[in-house]
Amino acid sequence: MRRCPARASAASNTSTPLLPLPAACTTLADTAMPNMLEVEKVDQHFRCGFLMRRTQVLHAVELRVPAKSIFGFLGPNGAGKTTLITLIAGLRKPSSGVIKVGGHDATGTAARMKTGYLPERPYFHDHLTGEGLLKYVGTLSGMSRPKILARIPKVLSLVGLTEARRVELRKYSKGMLQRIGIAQAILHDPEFLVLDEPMSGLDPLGRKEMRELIVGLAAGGRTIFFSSHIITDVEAICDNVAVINKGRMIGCGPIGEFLSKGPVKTEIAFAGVDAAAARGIDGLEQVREMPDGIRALVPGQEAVGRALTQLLDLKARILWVNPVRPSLEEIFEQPAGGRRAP
Amino acid sequence: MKQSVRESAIRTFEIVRAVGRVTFLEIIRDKVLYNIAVISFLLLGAGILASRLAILKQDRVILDFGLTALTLSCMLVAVLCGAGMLGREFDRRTVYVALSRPVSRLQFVAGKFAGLAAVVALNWLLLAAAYIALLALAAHGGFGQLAGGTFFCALFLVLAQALMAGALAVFFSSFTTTSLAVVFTAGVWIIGSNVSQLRWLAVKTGGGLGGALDVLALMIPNFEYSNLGLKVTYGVPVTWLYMTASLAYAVFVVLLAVLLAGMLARGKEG
Repeated sequence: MRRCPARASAASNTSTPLLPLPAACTTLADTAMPNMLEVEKVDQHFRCGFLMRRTQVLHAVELRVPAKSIFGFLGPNGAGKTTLITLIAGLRKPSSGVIKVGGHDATGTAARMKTGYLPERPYFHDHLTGEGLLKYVGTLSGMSRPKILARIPKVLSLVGLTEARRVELRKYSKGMLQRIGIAQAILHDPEFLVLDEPMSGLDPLGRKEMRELIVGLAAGGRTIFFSSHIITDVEAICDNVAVINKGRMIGCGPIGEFLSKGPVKTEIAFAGVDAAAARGIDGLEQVREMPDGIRALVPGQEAVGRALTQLLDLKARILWVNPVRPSLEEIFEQPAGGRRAP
Repeated sequence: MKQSVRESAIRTFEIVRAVGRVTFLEIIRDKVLYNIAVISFLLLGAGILASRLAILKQDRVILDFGLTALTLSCMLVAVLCGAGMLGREFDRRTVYVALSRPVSRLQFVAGKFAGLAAVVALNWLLLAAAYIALLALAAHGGFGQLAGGTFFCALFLVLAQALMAGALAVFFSSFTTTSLAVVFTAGVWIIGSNVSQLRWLAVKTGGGLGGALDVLALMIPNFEYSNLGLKVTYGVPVTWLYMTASLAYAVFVVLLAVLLAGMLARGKEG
């Protein structure tokens, strides 16, 4: 049954580009590297509800991903990330526009042979063992049986599931399921990996392991395209990102450049001053008492120096000064007029 | 060219086999299957009890009960397991793993049907073996006298009938919900098992309604071709031509339903 992507469907025309959008969103335009992925003027709509009303989910999306890069695809929940990813993975054809993987139509056999895909919250037949799942997907990928049997131990070892290869998937933890999801995606040794929210639902250790795994896979010369709604995940391993909101590409470029468009805040932690005195300091907001001292936020870069001077005058012991990354939601919630000019 | 067609056929066979195997393993873990099997064995046993109550033709009662139990069991397995198969794949998104590979939706649907057919065939084999054993033990007039060529033809046609129903369930599940697919398949089976009555009704009513009933009788899969119940009861012989034509018809219905399901599944989200 068709599901209406509810939030993306509420697409408005108010999205203002955070970064300048080139004719096509290409992040490494100056490099001689050919593009692994080309998305040109892609629209996608669904028919929803009893009256089968047409709802547009993607609006003239353009994107180019150079080969052998790790490319982050950011957007809040319901922005249209998964819809675009299912089109890139060749699961359906776009309503209009062209998607090419390695120069081939994304829905064609040639493109799908080049692509490895990890769905969001991967669901597998849980009666299969890890090894059984890999044999299944290996056959579907057109691999010969000897090749499948030779490749399985390598892939399982890479994702750290050798010990659990004969355990049924229903007994796997969330992190193990994500890792077997990566294993099935790379089994046929694809050049292009499409990972939909690979860190979703993982604990901090699991996220770290997944980041290391992705970096390791990229080191082997693969192009990796992965989506997330958490900036820190993308920031840690990608130099370049594309940002989508309400079905429209609103930014594309280096992650640092993108983050600088968000509200800049600094966290100052200090001790030796009581909370009442701290609240009197000009520029300090959200003053919180912690067991090891006091933490407060300073909006904007200019106020940091002033706040620090006043704290030092009060004989405060500064514990740390940290820039606070804005969340995607904070960036998208900014009024258009409040943003810096690109 | 010839080589490429051969490679393509081998690849399709490999995909159908792989999807079919996973589907088979998935279905045989389903508790519904075991409930149906238990009910069927109970029905077989009930045939013996009912035969004790009959004054005449006790062996015929066992024969009829057994054939009905076998038919119901195979139909229930085919319809209840087939109707939910595609919907479950799309709802749980397990289909993504398959369709992101170079696998067409038709190949995938064919694989799902192959898995279902294997389960139906296994159920049929076990119950038919139990049925034959029961007849051999309980028939007073001798097994050979009771179970002739028509009897074994009827057994094979029960399987053909169940596979047709399974294919129709898969077809309906490609565009509707599980519960509606069950209702539609059951409806088609009931009407399709009474096509001659439908034709008789068309003649009796005449006019526009009669014409419409005639068209319905022509369009709906005819399950009467694979129902030898009365012929078995009265020991009427069946010709090889009839058997061949009935099996060919069943194969045609199965292929058509799977082909249409594959085409309609393209519209499903995935």
